[in-house]
Amino acid sequence: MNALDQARRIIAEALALPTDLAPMDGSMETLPEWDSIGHVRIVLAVEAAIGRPLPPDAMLGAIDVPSVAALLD
Amino acid sequence: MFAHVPASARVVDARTGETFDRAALAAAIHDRAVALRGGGATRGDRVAVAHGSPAGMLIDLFAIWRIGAAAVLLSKNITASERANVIATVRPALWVGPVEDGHLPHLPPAEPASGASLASAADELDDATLDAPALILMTSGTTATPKGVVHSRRSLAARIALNIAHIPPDALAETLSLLPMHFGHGLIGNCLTPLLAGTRLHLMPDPGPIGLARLGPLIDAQGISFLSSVPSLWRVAMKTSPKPERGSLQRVHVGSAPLSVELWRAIMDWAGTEHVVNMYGITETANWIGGHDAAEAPPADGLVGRAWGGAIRVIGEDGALRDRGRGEVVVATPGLMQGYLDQPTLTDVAIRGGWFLTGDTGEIDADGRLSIVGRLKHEINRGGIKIPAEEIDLLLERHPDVVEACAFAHPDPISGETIAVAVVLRAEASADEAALRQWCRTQIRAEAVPEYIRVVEALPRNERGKLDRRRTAELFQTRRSMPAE
Repeated sequence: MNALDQARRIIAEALALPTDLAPMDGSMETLPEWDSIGHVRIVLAVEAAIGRPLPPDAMLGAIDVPSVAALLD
Repeated sequence: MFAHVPASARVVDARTGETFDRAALAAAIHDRAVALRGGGATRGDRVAVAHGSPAGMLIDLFAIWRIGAAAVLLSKNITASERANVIATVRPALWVGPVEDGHLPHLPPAEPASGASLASAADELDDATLDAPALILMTSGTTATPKGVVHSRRSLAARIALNIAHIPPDALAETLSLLPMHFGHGLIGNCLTPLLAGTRLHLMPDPGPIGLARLGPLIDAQGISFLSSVPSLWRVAMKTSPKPERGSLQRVHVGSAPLSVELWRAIMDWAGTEHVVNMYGITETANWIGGHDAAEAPPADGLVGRAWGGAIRVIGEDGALRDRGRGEVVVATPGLMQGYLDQPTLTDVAIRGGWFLTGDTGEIDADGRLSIVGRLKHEINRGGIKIPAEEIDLLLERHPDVVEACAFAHPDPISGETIAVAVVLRAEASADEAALRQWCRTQIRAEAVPEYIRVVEALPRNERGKLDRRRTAELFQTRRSMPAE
């Protein structure tokens, strides 16, 4: 699974979206489920996937599918 | 009510940095009262307010009180379906918010910056008695008869006066409000209390993930001394934001959801103060009934301390009121609601002999301190927002493909609880879980949309044939005997 698809899956699971994969253009702006609580769920899932905590800047920058994928790369 | 706000009070929009002093607020309230009257609202009416302008909502509220009407504060996320139901139940004379309703007089949200007209030199007084309904807070929106909690000026003034008496004045000097303003906790505790204390109120409701990730620097930049919030907000902020470094925070309140000892201590460490207070508050009592300050005695699970005015008792197994021991928690407080809107029978069930039955179970220790140990109501507490499970049941049972639904709380490490529902579909149903969830989004405010919907063949019942909500939740969590279709 490439990083983009992994990011879409992580976002979908973290936000309990009704689909397996979040839409490619899914973001903090377009997904109503991506609120503060959902954001932390995504951050925690990314940290679990990469095996280390994210620095604050990275948490702030994870705002859409590509930026989450970049953290997984 | 605004006549009681001291001259030192300030309101700051934390996003824009705009500051409104008392004179500017008074002018805006004056203008708004004129606009409300021009829109057809008058003494004794109800005016619904549903928008996301924080300073504008305060101005709308005080203006509604100025004309002697009652304010019905609603979520800015209210759906068209909920709006129709609330309008049918509340029958407001006027709707204030961005969404026009073709059948109701309507005003856009108040614009605080427009308060440029000349306010009268002397304060104008509210055109209402102390016991006239002043504030109606809806605790559900989609069910056939939404439940509205009615507070009078008297109950609000009593609650705020008690809050001010129990919080050191210096602590409130620079107050930050991060909570929605259509709940008692955010509005009465975190906004009206500091305003009536004459301090500076920084408004940033609904800060979002980015706002919370900058909470520490914001506290430093504004010299924030006090804020109140919910446990889930702290889980997010402490994960994503650096700590404040300047030591301005003097006091933190946490309420609206259970606070674990671990989280309590973590907040004390992050905030840099021992004065982290676990609050006990209920909409029906105009928010805080009491609280426990960790600086007085070490934190303990569920410990919410002594009453802030009034009295707290438990009902023993023999049905008698007791000031020690375990049982359902009941409270007598001058902040008690008048009742549920147009539902006298429901009010009579909730208030007996002046005591409000909270639906929580608790234990009062030998020192008179209350600990909450459980709850009797079927309420789902999602990040401090309480959603009656029955409201979700009834919502889904309105869907043409659903025979029966059972909602329950599903544990969650961030929000405390999420909303899960088991549903039984008709044999010829075409809807699936995704479709049901999408339908819910069109029917109910975002914060009450279930995270999980599971289609099941049948719902568990007890020996009397009654829906067994606890068993349904257990089956959901163990994923046994509840095959998804």
